[in-house]
Amino acid sequence: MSQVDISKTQEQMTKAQIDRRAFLKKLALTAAATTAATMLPGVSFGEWTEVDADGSDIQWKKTPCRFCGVGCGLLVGIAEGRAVAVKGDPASPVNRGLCCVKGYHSVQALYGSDRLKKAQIRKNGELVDVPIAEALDLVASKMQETIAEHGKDAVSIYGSGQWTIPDGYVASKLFKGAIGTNNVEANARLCMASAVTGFLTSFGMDEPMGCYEDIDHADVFVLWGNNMAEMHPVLFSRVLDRRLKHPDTKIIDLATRTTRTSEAADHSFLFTPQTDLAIANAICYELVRKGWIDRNFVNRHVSFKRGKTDIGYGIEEHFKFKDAATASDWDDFVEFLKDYSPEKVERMSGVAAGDIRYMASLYGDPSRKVVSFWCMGMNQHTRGTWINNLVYNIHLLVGKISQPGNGPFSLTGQPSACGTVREVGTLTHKLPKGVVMNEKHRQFAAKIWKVPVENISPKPTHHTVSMFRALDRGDIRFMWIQVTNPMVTMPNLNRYRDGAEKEGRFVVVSDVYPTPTTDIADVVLPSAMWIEREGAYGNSERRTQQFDQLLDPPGEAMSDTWQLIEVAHRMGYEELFPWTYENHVREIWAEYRKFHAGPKHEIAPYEELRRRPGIQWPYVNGKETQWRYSTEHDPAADSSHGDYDFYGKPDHRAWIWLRPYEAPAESPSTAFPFWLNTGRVLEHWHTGSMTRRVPTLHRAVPKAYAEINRDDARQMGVAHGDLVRLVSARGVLEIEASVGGRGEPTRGQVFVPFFDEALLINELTLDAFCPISKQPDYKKCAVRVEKV
Amino acid sequence: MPVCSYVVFPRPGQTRELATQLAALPGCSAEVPEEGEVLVLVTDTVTDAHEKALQADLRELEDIHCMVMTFGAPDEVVS
Repeated sequence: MSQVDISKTQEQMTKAQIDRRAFLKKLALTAAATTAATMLPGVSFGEWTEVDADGSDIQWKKTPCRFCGVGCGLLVGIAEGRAVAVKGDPASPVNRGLCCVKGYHSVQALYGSDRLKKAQIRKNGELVDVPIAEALDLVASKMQETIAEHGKDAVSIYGSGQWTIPDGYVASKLFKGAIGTNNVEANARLCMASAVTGFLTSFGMDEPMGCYEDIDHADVFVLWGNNMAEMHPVLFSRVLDRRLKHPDTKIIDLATRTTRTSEAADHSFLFTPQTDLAIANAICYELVRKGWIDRNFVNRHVSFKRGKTDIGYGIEEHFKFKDAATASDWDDFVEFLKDYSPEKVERMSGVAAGDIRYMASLYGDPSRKVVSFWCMGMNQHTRGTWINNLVYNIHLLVGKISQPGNGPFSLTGQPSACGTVREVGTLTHKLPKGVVMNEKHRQFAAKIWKVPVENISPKPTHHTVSMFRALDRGDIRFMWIQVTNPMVTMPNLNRYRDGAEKEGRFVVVSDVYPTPTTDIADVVLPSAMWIEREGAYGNSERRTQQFDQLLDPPGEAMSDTWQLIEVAHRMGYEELFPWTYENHVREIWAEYRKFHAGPKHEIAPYEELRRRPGIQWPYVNGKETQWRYSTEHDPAADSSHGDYDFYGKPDHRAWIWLRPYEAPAESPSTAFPFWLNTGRVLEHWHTGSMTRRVPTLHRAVPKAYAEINRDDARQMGVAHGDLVRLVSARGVLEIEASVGGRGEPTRGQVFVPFFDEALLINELTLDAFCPISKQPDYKKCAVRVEKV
Repeated sequence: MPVCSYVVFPRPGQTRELATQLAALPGCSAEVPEEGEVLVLVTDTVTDAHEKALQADLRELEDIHCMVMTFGAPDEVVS
C-alpha cells in the first residue's frame, strides 16, 4: 500500500470514528428525549428527531433485560458482532421505552476483561484451563461415580431465577426425571419462596392475580417494606407518573429505614422489624371496627382458616415443619383481631395508632382503588408466608382484588424467578406441573418426559439451606451450581463455605465471571450470557419473554442449557434429550408447553413469543389474561361461583388466615444491641458479579457500606466514612460507615448491601427461615457496632 | 471515553438558567423542550480526567434537582 493510500485510509477511519461518535450522541439524545417524554407526557423537543437506524451499521434486536424481575423490554444495538447500545423498547407494555441505569448499561456486563472463556479443572489446588469437552467429561463421570458410591441423592443442582426457562426445564428433567433425585433447588428460594407459599396457602395457585396495568388505575399504593424506587425503578416511575396525572394518588411507604422511596412517598411510616405482622392485623382490626368490610365479597368468596403457631425458625439441624389448616369463621377472626388494636400495635411497632387508622381508611374507602406492593421485606422473613397471607387478608376483607387498580402484588427480584423457578418448578418439591408428592402429577410428568414413573421420587429432599447443610454434613457429595453465587448470598456464610470446601465434596460452577463461588469449585464451566444464547424469561406479572441468540459467546462459553444436555448425553440419556443445538430451545418449548395446557396456565407458542415483546399467561385463544379469578377477565373462572372464582382452592374461595405476631429468631440484646438489615442498591445486580464490571456502575457505588442512623453515629463518635466493626454471633466485618447517605435506618439498626464480594455481610447473617416457605430472613439479626 | 445522556430535573423555575449553565460545561450539550420543566443532557468526554471533572462540575450545580442517566455507550465503542 502506498503512503497516499495509507493516508487516505487513516482519513477514512478518522471520519468513520467521528461519524460513529456523532451517531452515538444522537442515540444518547434519543434515549433521553424518549425517556423524558415517557416520564412527562406532553413534553416535546422541537429540534429533536428520532434517530433512524436505517443506513447505519447498527441493528436493533428485542430482548428482556438481563437483570431484575420487572422484565423491561430492551432493544439492543448490534454492530459488527458486538452489542454497542441499549434503549428501552417502546413496544414493551412493561417499560414503554424506559429503562433504569442497570438496563441502560446492561450490555457492558458482557465485556468485562476477566470474562470466563475457557473451562477450568482444579489440579493440585489450582484451577487450570482445559478444553470444555474434558471438563464436561469430568462432570458426567464424577456424577456417575458419586451416584454409584453414595446414591442418587448425593448429587444435586442449585440454579437460580436467572436461569432461562429452557435451563431450568432441562435441569429438572435431568435430575428429577432421568437421575431420579429431587435435589433440585434455586436461589429463588432465598428471594420469593414466601410469596409462593403465600399465594398457595391463600389462593391455591402461585403468582399474582393482577398485572402492572393495575398501576394505571390505582388511587393508592401501599409499599410494604419495599424500596421500589431503587429496586424496581421503572415500575416506580410508572407509580410516580400515575400520581403526576392524578394528584389525589397516595403513595404510602411502610418501611424500617428511610430510602429514596420514602422521599418520594406521601407518607413514610417506619416500624420496628417483624412488627409488620401486627400492623397488618391492626389494619384488619380497624376495617372490622369501622364496618369497612365488603360483606357480599367475604360471604361469597372467602373461607377462614387457622394454622399452627409457635412454629420455630429452622435453625436446628434436620428441622421439619408441616402446617395444617383448621376451619375458622368470621366470629373467630374478629375475636383473634382483638389483640391488635391500633394502640397496642403502636406500642409494638412504633407506628402511631392514627397512622394505622389512616392506612385502614385508604384500604377501606370503597371509592379508592388500592395496590399493595412488596418484595424482599416481606419475603425474607421468618414469618414470610404469614405476612403474605395477612396482606391478602386486607384485600380480601374489602374485596379489592383481581380488578384493574385493585390488588396485592408481590414483586420479584430476578428476571425469571417466576418463569423458571416457579413455573418450571426447579424446587425440590415441584414438577413443571404440580408436586412430586402427588402420584398423578408424577405420572403426568413421566409421560411427557418419557421416563418410567418410578424414576420420579415422591419425596422432596432438601430446600436451599438444608441442601447446603447436607453438603456440609456429607449427605450431598456433588453439587452443580449454575448462574448464581451462593458463596456470597448464603446466610451464615462461614459455615456453608467451610462445608463446600470439605474433603470429598465436588462442586461444579457454571458462570460468566470469576466469583467467590468459582473460587471453591472443582470444575468451572464458562457460560454463554443472556443474548449470547437463545432463551426465555418470565417476569413478575406472568409475562413470558423470548430472546434470540444475538451474539456469539466468547471462547468456549456455552449456554447452561447446552452444558446440561452435553452432560446428560455423556451419562447415557441421549434419548431424553434428542435435540440439536439449532433446534433445542424450540423443541424444549414445545415439550414444556404440554405441562401447562389448559385455561389456567396456557403459555404462548414459541413463534408468537418471538414476534412480541412478551405475552402474559394464561394465554387462551390468542388472548392474554390480565386479572385472574375474575369471571370478567379470566376464561378459567366459572361464573357459577359469582363474579370471582378462586379455582385454586377446592372450595373455590380465597382463604383468610388467622396469623398472629410472633417474635423474630434473633433480636437485639445487650451483647448485640443493633438490628442488622441487608439488601440491594440501585446500581448493582445481586452480588455485583456483572454490574461491578461495568465501569459507570462500579464507580457509582464502588464498595459496600454500613448505613447508621445519624443519632447513633453521633453517640458512638462515628462520622461518615469512618471504619466500624460489625460483630454478630457468627462473624465480624470491618466496613465504612455511611451517615446521612442515600438511606438511613431507624435508631438501633444498621443496613449493609450485599453486592460486594470483598465485604461479605452474609458472614454475619443468621440462617433462620420461614418454616413454611424455607426462605431465610436476611432482614433481621443482631449485631454489635464498634468504632475501629 | 463515554457518551452518556441524562434526563435532568431542574429546581422550579430554573430550567433555562440551568440549560445555560450546562451548555457552558465542556463536553455538554443540553436540549430544552418547548414546554415542561425538564431538559436532556448529552455528555461527551475525551479522557477519564475529563469525565471525573465533569461529574464533579455537575454535582456543584445547585439548580439540578435530580438527574437520571438514560444512555451510556462503552468507551471502546465510542473511541
